[in-house]
Amino acid sequence: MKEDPLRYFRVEAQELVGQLEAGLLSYEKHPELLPELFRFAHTLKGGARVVRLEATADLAHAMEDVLAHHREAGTHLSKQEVMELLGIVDAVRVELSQASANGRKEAAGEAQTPGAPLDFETVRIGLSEMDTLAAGAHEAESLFTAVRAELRELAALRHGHGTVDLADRIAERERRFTTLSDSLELALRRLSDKASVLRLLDASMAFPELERAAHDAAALTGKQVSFTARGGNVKLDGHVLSPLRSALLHLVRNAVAHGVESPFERSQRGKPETGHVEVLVERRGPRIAFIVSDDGGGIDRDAVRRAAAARGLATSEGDTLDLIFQPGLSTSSTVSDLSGRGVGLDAVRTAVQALKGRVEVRSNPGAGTRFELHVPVSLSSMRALAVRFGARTLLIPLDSVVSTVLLSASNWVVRGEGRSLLHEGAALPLHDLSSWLDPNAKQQEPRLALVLQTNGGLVGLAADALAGTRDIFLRPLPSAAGGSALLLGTAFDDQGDPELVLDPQGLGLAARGAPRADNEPRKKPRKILVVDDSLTTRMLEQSILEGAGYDVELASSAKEGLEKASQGQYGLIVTDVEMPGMNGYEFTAETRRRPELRAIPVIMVSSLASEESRRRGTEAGINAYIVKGEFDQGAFLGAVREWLG
Amino acid sequence: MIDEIDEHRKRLAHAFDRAFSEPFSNEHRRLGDFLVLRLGQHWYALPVDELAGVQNKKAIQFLPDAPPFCLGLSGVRGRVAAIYDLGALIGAPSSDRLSWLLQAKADPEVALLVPKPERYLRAELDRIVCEASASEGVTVGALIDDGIAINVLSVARVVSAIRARGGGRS
Repeated sequence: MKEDPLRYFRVEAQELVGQLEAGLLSYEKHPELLPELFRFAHTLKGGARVVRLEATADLAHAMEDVLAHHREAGTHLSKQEVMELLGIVDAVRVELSQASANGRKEAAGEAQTPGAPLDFETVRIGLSEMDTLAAGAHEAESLFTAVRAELRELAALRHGHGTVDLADRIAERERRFTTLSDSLELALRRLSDKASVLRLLDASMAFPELERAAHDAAALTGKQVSFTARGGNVKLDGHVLSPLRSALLHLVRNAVAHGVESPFERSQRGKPETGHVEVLVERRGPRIAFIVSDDGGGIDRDAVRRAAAARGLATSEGDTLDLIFQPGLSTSSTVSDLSGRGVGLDAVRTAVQALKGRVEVRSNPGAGTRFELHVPVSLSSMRALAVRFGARTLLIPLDSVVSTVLLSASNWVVRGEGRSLLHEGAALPLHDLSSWLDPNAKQQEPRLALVLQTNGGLVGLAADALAGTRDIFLRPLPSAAGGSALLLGTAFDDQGDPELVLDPQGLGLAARGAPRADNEPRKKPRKILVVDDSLTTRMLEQSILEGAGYDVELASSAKEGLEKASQGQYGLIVTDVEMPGMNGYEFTAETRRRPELRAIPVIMVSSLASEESRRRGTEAGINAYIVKGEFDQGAFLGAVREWLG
Repeated sequence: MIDEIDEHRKRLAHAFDRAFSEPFSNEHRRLGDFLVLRLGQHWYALPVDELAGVQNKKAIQFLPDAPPFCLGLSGVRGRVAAIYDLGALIGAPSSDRLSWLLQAKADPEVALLVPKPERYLRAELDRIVCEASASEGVTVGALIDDGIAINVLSVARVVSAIRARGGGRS
């Protein structure tokens, strides 16, 4: 594999584009930034010329011309010019995105195709941090050398002639060997911890794009909005930040377009004409909260209830605000480029749930709305609780554990084929995994139960004992080990042996499944049928799904899809909308009419982003709707996982 | 006598130097290296160049919902590997002397649990007799060594068979 030719320029250009955008957005308040903006454009142009990205260089040159003119004349950029320069920044982003994708594929020896977006997969590390890492590696290497020397000494003693003090000398060597081994272990642990921290990104990397979204939405709707972002130094895994990007953009655009009132309305209500939208990032233990708030009019609960009732959704249970996360639900009477409250919020929740996170919303009439997205810092590093089930031990992500309770006659009951845990006034399904974990074990009454938070609500899990907490690095199950809906992966213990990590969300899905004949988790077929007339889309979806461990079969038309669906055991169908002959709505409706296909969930993936399209999909009987223009692997796999496991 | 010894020394030195001046090539001599082990009453040879590593058996973590013949998971040379009983996979009688793990080069997340190999064999590949049906199964042929018939297996084909039986994606 060749080295990616744009490896370094990509990092520099992303930073320069971000600085240009941030500077232009704050130019109105800080016109003194003009020389700095010129320098950014000039540096970008120079770098692009070096790596022969002529289109990018020309765009940077155009920016440079405009900025140079005002710098030399001592005049200011007009609002129109700021907008035009922001447009050029966008064009540079597109060029970089295309060049970046081509560069990576060229490096990997693949064909060049445009289109991959900029991502959060590149980490920039300071020299001092690298020095610390290198020093740690050097320390470990020195200790290895010392360990080897001790081993040589021991071997020499073993092969040497016996002396009176041989036993003492061996004992001394053993002591030194143990001390060195302990030091080596400590050095490697420090090295590992340092590397884990270095691979994290600052949350501020997402801010420029959010500020830009707020600016553009305000310009489009004629509103006056100030945007602030705080908590940018909070660090998190790029694999978490990347899937959150589209969710945060949704929320910021919605806050401006449908949260903040027009200047006239605001003055009528005694508010400043300029509304405020804020993104705040906070570290909360092992999780991070992204809080998007506005000081607008708040969500109209009556309108939400009316919209829900019109769609036949139950409105009597739970908080009305939960309804806004239903697919397609909107209180907006018009469809515009900016989605209404409700449209896209199901995608926000899906993206967050795919990260094992949760969404909360609070809204006060006349005072504003606040969305909180709670996600883990990292998808691979986590703190886990070791739990014993008979002779077996399972690791459970600690942030899913709400509480533990000792089981007694007063807090659990047998209900039908299963058991229920009575917890804080509610009856939770109580799972018993002991026979699943050890089919030969003698059934015994469990001693305690864990209450776990899942996307499907709280569930109980019977267990025998707790065995402490530990920090783990999650590793996926080998593909040759098959897949289990109840397992998140594995983690090595201190001896280098793998331990199983339970997926609480899988347990939540099992709780929502059909009644089971025994205590073992229900196994669903993991085969997915992809129905799409576009070869590119079929191949893309097949690649993503197979990469995640699913078996995939393809159909190029709805007719072929129905034939295959009737013949095979599928756990899920993914379908396009626009197809020759029978379209995706008709196809889905047909699957709902056929008894043998009725229970198979359907995910619709479409280029149609309108509320009407979602509504028609829901009426036809789909379970989830994903817009191709907002296509994100994480959200897609999140939806697949939710419905298939 | 001294002349003879000196002549012999020169011949040895010349042969030694020549051995270093010519590149070693198995291809030239068409040699293959194999681990030979016994499963039940039969002997099997596994090509060394189809193995990523070899280690003693470690603790095997039981895996619920495991595919057929998968015994569980184990840590093999820094990876989590699915452990398969080779004997069970090819229909040989089970053994209680399974003590070695052979990590497959075709998929280092697959390790085959086998008894301790009986010996190491370097053999000319021309000696392997192929059957007409050998292109499909996990056996690529057989060879006779010291009067013993040895089945020659392909580890890559064993991995393919595992995938075909539901152990992961093919």
